[in-house]
Amino acid sequence: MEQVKNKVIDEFANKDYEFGFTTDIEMELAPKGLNEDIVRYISDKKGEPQWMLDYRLKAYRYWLTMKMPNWSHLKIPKIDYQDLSYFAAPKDMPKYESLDEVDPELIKTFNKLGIPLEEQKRLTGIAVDAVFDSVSVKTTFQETLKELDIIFCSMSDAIKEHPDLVKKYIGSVVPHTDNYYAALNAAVFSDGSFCYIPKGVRCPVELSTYFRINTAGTGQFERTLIVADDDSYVSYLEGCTAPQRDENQLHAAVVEIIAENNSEVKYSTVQNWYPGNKEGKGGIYNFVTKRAICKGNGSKVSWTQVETGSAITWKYPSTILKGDDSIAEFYSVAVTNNHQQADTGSKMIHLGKNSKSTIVSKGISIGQSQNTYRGMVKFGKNAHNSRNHSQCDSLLMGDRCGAHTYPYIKVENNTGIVEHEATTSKIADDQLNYLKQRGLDEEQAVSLLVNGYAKEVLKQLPMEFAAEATKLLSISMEGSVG
Amino acid sequence: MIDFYNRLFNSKKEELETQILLKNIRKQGLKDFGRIGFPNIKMEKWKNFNTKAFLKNQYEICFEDKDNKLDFFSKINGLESPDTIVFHNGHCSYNMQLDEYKNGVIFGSIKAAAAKYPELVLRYFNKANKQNLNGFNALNSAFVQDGFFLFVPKNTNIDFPVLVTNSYDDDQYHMANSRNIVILEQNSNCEIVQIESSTSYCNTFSNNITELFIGENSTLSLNKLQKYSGKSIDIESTFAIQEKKSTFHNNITIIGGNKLRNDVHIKLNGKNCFADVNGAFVLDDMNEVDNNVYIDHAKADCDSNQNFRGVLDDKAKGAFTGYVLVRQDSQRTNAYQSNKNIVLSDDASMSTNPFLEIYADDVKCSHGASVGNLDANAMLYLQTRGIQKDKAKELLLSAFVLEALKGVKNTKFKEIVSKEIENKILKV
Repeated sequence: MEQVKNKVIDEFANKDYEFGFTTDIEMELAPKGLNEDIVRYISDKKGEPQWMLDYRLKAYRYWLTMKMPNWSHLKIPKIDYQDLSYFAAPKDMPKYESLDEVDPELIKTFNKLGIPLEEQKRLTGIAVDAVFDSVSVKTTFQETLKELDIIFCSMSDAIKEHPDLVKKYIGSVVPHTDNYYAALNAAVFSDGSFCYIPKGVRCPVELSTYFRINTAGTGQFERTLIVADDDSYVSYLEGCTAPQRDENQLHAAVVEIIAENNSEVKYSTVQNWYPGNKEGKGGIYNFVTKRAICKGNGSKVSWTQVETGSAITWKYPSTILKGDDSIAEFYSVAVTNNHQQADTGSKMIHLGKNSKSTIVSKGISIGQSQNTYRGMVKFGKNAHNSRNHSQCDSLLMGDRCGAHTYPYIKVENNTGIVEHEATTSKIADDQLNYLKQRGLDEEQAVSLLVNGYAKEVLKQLPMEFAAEATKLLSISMEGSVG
Repeated sequence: MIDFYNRLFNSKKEELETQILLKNIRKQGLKDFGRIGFPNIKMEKWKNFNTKAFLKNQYEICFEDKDNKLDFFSKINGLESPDTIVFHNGHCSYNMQLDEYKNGVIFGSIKAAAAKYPELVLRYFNKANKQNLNGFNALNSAFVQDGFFLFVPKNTNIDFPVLVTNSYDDDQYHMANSRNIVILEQNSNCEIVQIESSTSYCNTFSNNITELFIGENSTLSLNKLQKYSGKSIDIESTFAIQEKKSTFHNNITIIGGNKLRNDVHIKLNGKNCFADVNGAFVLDDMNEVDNNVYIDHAKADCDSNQNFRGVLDDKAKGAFTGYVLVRQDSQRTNAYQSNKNIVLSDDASMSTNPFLEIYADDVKCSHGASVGNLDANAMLYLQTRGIQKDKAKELLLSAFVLEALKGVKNTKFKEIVSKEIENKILKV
């Protein structure tokens, strides 16, 4: 059995990154370095109003006073923030009316990524906003959404076309003072998606964004803002890939979600940034701040994430349960291999009465990787009758990897109930034996057990996303176990 | 504040150096203290323990117990032992300085032991607390005044529990830095019962370190009752090093205390060790307790278990941090952590952080933590069977807390702490 396991691990370790191509498109790059002029340059390139520039400059000045956080269980090499280019965009990008006008190279890229825009548009009815090196390329299905008054566009467009909405909500969940990377993002964010669902509207299609870093020596800083007004519903999907490069690239995104009274937001991510090669060279540094607020009573936010890529992941999708009877969920599968490091988890801050949250986190460590779950559950003084259940399990494959669990639980009233449980183990020998006795070979047995282990999270992914998620997971898990 | 303790050290240098022959250790302690200072809540490990308020006081040291008239020993109902050492405000009383047995067991004040067996004491002093992990540990190294010393030679069983009592009743702002050292050579067995208490007017800041060396195939039980009251501040650091096939049972019962911190560091330094750390606490008023357990699985085939249960009422604040580190080649490790708490009042709060850090794959590690109120169904069940509400609550709370102490083998001790817990529960 050891042999099979070793084979399984070797197979995974030797698996190449599928999305490691680059697209040869002429790019417009900002000069390297970061200073107030660069912030002005970005704002100017995007034709932003003065208030946005002021916001950026305020964030930049605050960022200068901050230090990189060092509390995570990650070994982050020194990052030279002056050696990065903070803006890269396909050159002379016109506004496209139809997909035919988009550079065929780009279309090819998306097709290689398995995101055929047309096909998705036609077959699945997903409205896609594709962000290519920081700039939004195409938003499909705009008309269908328009009928329902749903706004789904790039952040740059939103700043120009819906300044009141953006002004009202931007930085309201993740202020620029929140943390080092959030401040950096607020100063230099290049694009991202903006989504507003009006009162009483149930968004009929899944909204989706694909992010790709293409150009060398750039950082990607997208900013996503989702607002669900009273009694609305939206499901939002996000996918990420990047080419194979020797140097590390920085990705510091911010996602803000606002759920008003009785609204529901479902946010799903499949993150597959380039994880670096087998020796740990290259790969994306994924330092992301994602936070939602259940602002209204009876609102619900659900996070689902499948994390397979990035050299280093620093990411804690969190929810502030401010409204009474609000609900938050967090489902995560994080797979690390080779020299990947991940420090990820969730925060649930209960402020409203009868608020409920669930955390299910499944970590899989392979090779020499380090996989950390870090989570916080806090019940404020007024969060009466609140409830949380957290479960975070870790699976270890190989004796050189690590799995760590750091839950923080704080309760400040006497009516809330918090439960946390976690286990760390390798695949149990008795389970393998049981399956083998019933006629499965060892590879099938390992495969079945790993799948079963992650199933609780995978089943949360929307149907429309399942195809890609399954594909990615087959690379990371199922593929590795035959 | 660092300056104050530097000045204090220099002004009392002569007395300090005549106390125990620890010139270099004291110097190193003071140096480390100057370098790291006192911990504060910005530090990850001290997040739940705010030292700022009490550290404003300037704690002096005193070298002798001026008022040693109280017979604390007789106050410990029913807990008797053929060998007992009594400390009063951190000083060894009753002239029971050092007992030496025919079989080689040495038990008594560390001050007396250091005078008579300097080599033996120095061989172990600061060997488990190697680096003065924090400012309090460093301060203890610099100002240590007394403590208990127990040496059990190989192949020796002490067939009765040795009793150590510490009582504080000093209304002055004094600090007591006790250093306790226990050495069990191979194939030895021993049980220590430690009772700590303070009076309501006590202003002492006790800052104690216990170093435990548990030899191959030996078993040590350390049963502790901390019954502090009033304004006393207590910081306890326990450092244990276990050699192969050794077993360590540590049971801690906490009944109140203004500010109490327990740090238990255990290094499983040989194969097939077992470490078992249990704690039960009942807090009310403004009590603050922070329990921290760090278990380092440095070698393979070891098991560890942590079980802490607490009840909090009024404005009490509780914290638990359990930390299990499984090193890369520590295969076939089993580690279990559990922390369950009942919060009875809206003003009480509880933080629990059960951490696992695992670098080996053939392990079975799990942890569970919960915070909640009394089970309404269980209350209803008891009430429908004719049990008064208060009595039902008392029954459920006692049963809940005492679960953590089910492994205590010393029935007399168990009886006494159960009674203490039940009495305290009656008050909450």
